[in-house]
Amino acid sequence: MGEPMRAAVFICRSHGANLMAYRGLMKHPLVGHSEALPSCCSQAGRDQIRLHLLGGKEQALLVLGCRASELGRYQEVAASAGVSPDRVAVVPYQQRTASAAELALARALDGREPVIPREARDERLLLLGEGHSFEAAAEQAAKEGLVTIALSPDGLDAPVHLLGGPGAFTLEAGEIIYRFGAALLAFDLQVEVTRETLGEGPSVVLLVGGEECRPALVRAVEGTLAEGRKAYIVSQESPFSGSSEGVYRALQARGATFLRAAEAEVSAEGVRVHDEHLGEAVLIEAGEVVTIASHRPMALDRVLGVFGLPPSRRPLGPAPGDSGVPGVFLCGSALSGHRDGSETQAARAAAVSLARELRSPVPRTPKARVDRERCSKCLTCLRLCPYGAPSLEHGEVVVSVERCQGCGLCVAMCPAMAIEMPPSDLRAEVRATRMGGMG
Amino acid sequence: MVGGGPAGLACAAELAGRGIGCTIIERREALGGRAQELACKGSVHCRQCDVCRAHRLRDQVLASEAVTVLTGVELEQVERCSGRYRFALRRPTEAIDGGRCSRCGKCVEACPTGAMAKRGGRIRLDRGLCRSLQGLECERCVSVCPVGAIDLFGEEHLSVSGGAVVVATGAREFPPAADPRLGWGLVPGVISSMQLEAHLEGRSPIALGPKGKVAFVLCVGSRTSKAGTQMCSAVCCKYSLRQALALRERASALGITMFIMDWRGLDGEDALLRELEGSGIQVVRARPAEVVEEEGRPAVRYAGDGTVRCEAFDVVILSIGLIPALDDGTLTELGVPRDELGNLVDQGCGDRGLFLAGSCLGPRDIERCIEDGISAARDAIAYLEGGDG
Ligand SMILES: Cc1cc2nc3c(=O)[nH]c(=O)nc-3n(C[C@H](O)[C@H](O)[C@H](O)COP(=O)(O)OP(=O)(O)OC[C@H]3O[C@@H](n4cnc5c(N)ncnc54)[C@H](O)[C@@H]3O)c2cc1C
Ligand code: SF4
Repeated sequence: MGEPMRAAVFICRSHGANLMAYRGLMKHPLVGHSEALPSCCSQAGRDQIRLHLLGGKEQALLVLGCRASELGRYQEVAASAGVSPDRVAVVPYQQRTASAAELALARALDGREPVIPREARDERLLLLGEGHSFEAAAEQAAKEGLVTIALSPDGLDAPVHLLGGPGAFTLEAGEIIYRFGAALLAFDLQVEVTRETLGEGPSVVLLVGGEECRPALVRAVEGTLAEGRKAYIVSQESPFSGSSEGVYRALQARGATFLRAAEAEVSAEGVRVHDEHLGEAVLIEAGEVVTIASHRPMALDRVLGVFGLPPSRRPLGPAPGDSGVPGVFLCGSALSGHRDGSETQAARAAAVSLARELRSPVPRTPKARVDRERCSKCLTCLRLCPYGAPSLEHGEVVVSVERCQGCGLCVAMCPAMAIEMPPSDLRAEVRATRMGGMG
Repeated sequence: MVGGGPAGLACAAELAGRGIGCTIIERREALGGRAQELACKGSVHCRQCDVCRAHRLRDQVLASEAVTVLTGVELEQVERCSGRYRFALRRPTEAIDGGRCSRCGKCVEACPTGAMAKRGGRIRLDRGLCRSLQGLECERCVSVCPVGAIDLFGEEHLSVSGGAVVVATGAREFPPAADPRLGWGLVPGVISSMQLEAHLEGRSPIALGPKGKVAFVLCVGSRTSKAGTQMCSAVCCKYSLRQALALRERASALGITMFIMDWRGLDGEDALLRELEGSGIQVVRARPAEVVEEEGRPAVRYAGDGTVRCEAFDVVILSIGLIPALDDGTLTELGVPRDELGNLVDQGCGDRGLFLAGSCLGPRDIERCIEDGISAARDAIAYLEGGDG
């Protein structure tokens, strides 16, 4: 694969402690050149950096101890000297630790994910789905000024292929080709209410679903109570959490009875329910049986498959809606834990954070790293990783920076102990917070 | 930004990411809200408890230049004139004058509570433990300090202003002592779920023994009309289940029983419920009436299978709920309306540049708090760009 890439490192001397903190880094094998500048963020400093980069020996630029907001300027300097802006990093003086610098170095030199040139990045959003989360996301994306390609799953009947990566996806659906920078999948669980009238008498509501059914349940029960009839609700768990507990109490106070059972037998005599607390089965002479059930949209699993996601995937990464696959986001009650009415809010938040990521894709910090010497290529990590981050490339195991969430599973399970996690690992973060009061 | 918990941090990070400056006013000494005290509940598997997200946000906010962080501040007054809010704040100054302190350690020896401690080569004061700051008579450190470097009551005054305010003041934990029937502080071995968090994090380990018996009592301080709140806290089922699984993973011979009313908020967490099924953790649907002492161990009295049972454990964990912070002066000053349960409600707040986020709106988990924060940031930006003030 040729010579490894190297970085040119410039350290700002206007913060005295910088030199101390970064002494070790100057000798790092991936640092081709290091230099302390009297003041890096002045015109003179930038000229000096540019002059050095024009020499062409290094492919990345790292500025240590400057202000984070200067990144844009350094990227310009780098671009004018033929270094990709994606390979420029600034470690702000507030994060003056050697490990922060080392992470930034690894990130700037990371060649494992294809780095898409800036001008080729697509800022359009593919919004795929249906339901109220879809609408909320579409509305928010419009407010963010995103160009949105809205697509219903019916539009994906033909064989579909997804190519490319974040910033430049291509979706071929039969004859049609969609190009976009990120995708948001928005699907809600579909709630279905069926009514069966048996005669006079109380109404029995069978609930086969969770909190997503709550509005329908409340409507059905209130309707029954308003008619002066009695209402029985049969469900395994009550779908009221948080502040909606009030509604639950109010319904009970008005005469609704909740029975705990996963299912009930409906026959001509009535509904037989086996409540856990009552012990034996009870028969309700029901006049009406209402079944409220929810199911996943039919097209969902196919859509997830197209994007390389397993059916059980929930949002995980640090940004709301992050699916773990770079550039693909999830929202809606069928795709998240949000079923209590907060899914539209979640959809909005996903659209907001996605818009920001789309415009300024910040590379994530690498987490798990494989020590090639120790790795016995048993591929345990490939099988175990919930996020599909490790892969085998050119006979070596590499971990995708974008996919790795730092959960530590591979570190724990690697038989060769070949995987390590740099200090940004969760526990280290937790520890750091504990010790580092704000002073 | 009032309050630096997950909701406030998410909001600040979003604002900063869009180049809008903001100031976080946090009453406590450090940012992070309750998440500071919570433990990562995964060990081999990530259980997506989201605690790390709060820490990441905190790092992001601290590294950002657009965010000013004021911790340990107390509000004195809020004013609103010509569309801008102005907060007058009071902040205690550093108790130890670093320039004068010779690090002799006499104050550390003199301190009866361990509030003065040497950390990282410097002597620091944990304000939460200091007796003098709690209004008790002490000041021993001041009297022993040979160089007069200690001033416990110094204060400075600050003023912050802004075009919009985001309220993310969070909720409070139910104080377990307020329900004496459950024996917290009275029966040995009864701890709160916050204490268990500290144990899981390794901060203050609890003697559980390898083969001990542990019980979780859920809905403490929630779903009750007595002490606490009528609401369901929405987070305790989630975190208790994760805590129990994390405990089980660390000590597989531990006997764990969970006393629950219902599982709430676990829709879509099928993976956890499946893990629970295979874990041997016993789940009992009962609301325990009492925790009493039985031969020095806590015993849970509850109704099950038609009789009253009393079962002894080594440790009983009370899964405390979140209750609204009703006596917060800042919120009164800002005039944020509340609903009948005490949660803040957004009734026309947006029109006067006031936005709400997080568990002050009602109990919710970190994930939702973060989403709230981001949405509040968007609303605030829209308001500020609307050119009002
Ligand atoms: C034992 C326990 C375990 C939990 N485990 C989990 C878990 O695993 N996963 C999860 O998602 N959730 C968990 N939770 C819930 C989680 O703690 C909350 O969802 C979350 O902390 C709420 O965040 P917040 O930003 O709304 O408020 P908070 O975290 O409460 O933060 C509010 C902040 O505002 C400050 N503040 C308040 N009033 C003022 C004022 N007037 N002026 C200045 N500052 C003020 C407070 O000091 C505080 O720092 C747990 C809760 C408990 C009790
Ligand atoms: S006043 Fe007392 S408790 Fe507080 S720091 Fe001094 S000696 Fe310790």
